[in-house]
This record gives sequence, structure tokens and C-alpha cells, in this order.
Amino acid sequence: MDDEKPDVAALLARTRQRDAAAAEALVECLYPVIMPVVQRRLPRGADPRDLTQEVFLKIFTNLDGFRGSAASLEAWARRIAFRTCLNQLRHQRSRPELRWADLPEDQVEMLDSVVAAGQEPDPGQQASARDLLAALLAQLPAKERLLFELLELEQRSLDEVRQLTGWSRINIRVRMHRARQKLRRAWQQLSKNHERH
Amino acid sequence: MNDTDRKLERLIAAAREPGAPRSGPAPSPWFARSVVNRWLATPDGAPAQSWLRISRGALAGATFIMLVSLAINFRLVWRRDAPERIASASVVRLFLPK
Repeated sequence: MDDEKPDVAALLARTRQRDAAAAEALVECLYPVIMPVVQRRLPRGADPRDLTQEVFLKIFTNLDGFRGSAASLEAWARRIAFRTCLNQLRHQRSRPELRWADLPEDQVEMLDSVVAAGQEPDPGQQASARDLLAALLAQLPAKERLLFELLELEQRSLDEVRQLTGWSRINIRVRMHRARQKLRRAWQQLSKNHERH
Repeated sequence: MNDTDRKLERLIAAAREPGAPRSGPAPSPWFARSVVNRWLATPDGAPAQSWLRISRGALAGATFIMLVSLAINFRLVWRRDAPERIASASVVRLFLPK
């Protein structure tokens, strides 16, 4: 098996000359970097391959404007992927208020054991917790939702998030604060709904 | 921190996924080819330059203002009972005999 890393700088130069073989090699280099970003931030009902294709088209059409080194190409590509997903998410309507009656049985069970009784979640319950939190986060604006997922759920560092989003530290902190407040409100609404139920 | 907040924190902790993969699998063989073919099929592959986009916007804005100005001026022209307003209308003055 050939483990040699391709010369990214040369691939970039050739792709700028519209060399198809170099462009294909560049897609193969960047795909493993872009796909996880797209898959984790995929809007409801969207096909990850279509969105990844769109990301690559943006990368190619903006390649002349890319002034960074070959080493910074991955970070730049990741940022384009993130922004493409963000734009897609913005076009989606935010979900209406979540009601207790709408929750599936597994989420209710998880709420009873993990959230109310404070037990350690088993793997099945972790998936339910993730789904429930995703439904609550769907009520937030796209930027705040993505930021919350990056910092709180994926536990990425502030620097990593700054690199991915291109937002300043202050901007990230302010948005994160707003996201927490909105999530707390959505959660309180759901809890109140449960008490009435 | 009240009880509701504590429960939310527990939910977040249960949903956490810190070891999320940073890199994914390689693309399928046809994927790279189809992306590149799509890219090469676009007219020249380059997006409009930012200065071009700005000047297009400025041109559209200027055209809009000009049309509104013309509409106001012509409306004044048709009001025969306000000759002094016709005379003061900037565009109409350009066409009036000296």
C-alpha cells in the first residue's frame, strides 16, 4: 500500500490550472477532513454527499483566493464546510416548542432514570439523551446551536472552535451565553409541561 | 443552581460525546471524479470577484435611486397646478428651455 503523503502545494498549484487529476487527488486528501464536519452538522433531511459536493465546489471556486500555505489548507477547508452547513441550517425553520407528550418512550425513561434520579446512562440511554438534547437545541438559532454542540457536547477547545468558525473569542463567549440561556428556557418549558402532564 | 438547572446539566452530561472523530473515511472512487466533473463544467470555475459584486450592488442601488427620482419628477410634471414645484424638480430643470 502506498502511504506516501501527496505534495499538497503541488496539487494546489495544478488544481489552480484546472488539472482534473490534481483536483481529484485534492478531493481524496480533503474528504476525510470535511466529511466528519458535514456529517455532524447535517441539516434534517439533507444528504451528506450532496453537501460535501457543494463544499468541494466552493473550495475549488475559491481556490484562487486562498493565500495560506498547504499546511493551513485543511483548516480553511474545514471552515468552508462549517459555513456551508451553517447556511443550510439557517434556511431550516427552527422547531416549535417541544412538548412532553411528543417525547418517545425511551426518552421519557431516560429522563426518569438519568436526569431525575442521577444514574449513570447506559449506551442506549446516551443515544436517547442525545436525541432529546438535539430536539431542544433545534429551537435555538443555527449559530448558537452549532456552538453549543462544539463546546459542550464535543468538548472542543475555544481555540479549535475559533479556528473552525472564524469567530472571535468574545463573540463565541457571548453566543455561548445566549445559547445556554435559550436552552435553559426551552428546558424549563418542557419541565413545566411535564408537571402539568 | 436550582433543581431544573441541575437536571439540564445531567442531560447535557449524558449526551456528551468528547471523543468525536476528527477525520473520516476516504471517498468512494466515483465521488472525486463527479465533484471535479461538476466543477469543470462550470463556466470558468471562478466566482465573481468581491469588487465586482460591490460595484454591481452600487450600480443597482444607483439605478433604483434614479428611477425613484424620475418617477417623482414626472409625477410633478403631470400636476399642472404646481408649476413652481415643476420648476424646482431637479431632473425636469435639465430639460426645460433656458
